[in-house]
Amino acid sequence: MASCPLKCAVEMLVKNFEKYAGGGGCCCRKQPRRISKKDFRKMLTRELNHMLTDTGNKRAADKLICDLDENKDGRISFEEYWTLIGGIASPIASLIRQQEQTWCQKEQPQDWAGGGFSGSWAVCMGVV
Amino acid sequence: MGQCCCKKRKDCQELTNVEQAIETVINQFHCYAVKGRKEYLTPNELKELVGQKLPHLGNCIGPLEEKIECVGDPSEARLEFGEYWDIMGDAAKGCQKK
Repeated sequence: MASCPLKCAVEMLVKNFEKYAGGGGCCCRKQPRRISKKDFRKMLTRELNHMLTDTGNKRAADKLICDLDENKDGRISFEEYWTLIGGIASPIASLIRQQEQTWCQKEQPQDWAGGGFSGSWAVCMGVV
Repeated sequence: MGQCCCKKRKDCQELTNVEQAIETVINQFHCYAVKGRKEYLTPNELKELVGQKLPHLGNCIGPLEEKIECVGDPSEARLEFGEYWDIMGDAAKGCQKK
């Protein structure tokens, strides 16, 4: 398990989708599984609460869902879900890179030292 | 509004599993993106990453060469985080089917 952290991480994200997409009772149908808006919001607050501290407010979450829901069916498919997580991860990745570069250049900024991810996520989400 | 102080809480240990997973995916990208100083992966770095870290999901991703070609000349291709994420998405879809 520990030898393949990336695989485990990808599987974790898939499981998370399935956790919220489940319960629709439509797994025997042809249509792929989707997350309803309501469950999606639940997922955001429960699973991404450190990243999306400020999207506890409904408007931001709605906008996120609206932007995401490309086919306007009010539900989030796996592709749409993956795009969302990517949209969140991407600014975080560049932020970390920048932070590390500044780190090398000057001394550790106080509020960053040991603050790790949650700090940078909060900053990212200010953009949303 | 009074909760804004929690933005800087030092609670990285308390990240949810999903957040930890995202963190891992980012870290792996940074680990392998040596030449591009964490900004992009070269085709070789991508192949190494997939070969070493996703050996069992490699099939789901499909031929990496094709994906690299989409980005440009294989000798100069730079795969940024977005492209890497899309490739991980293919791996994820592979997990889903299992």
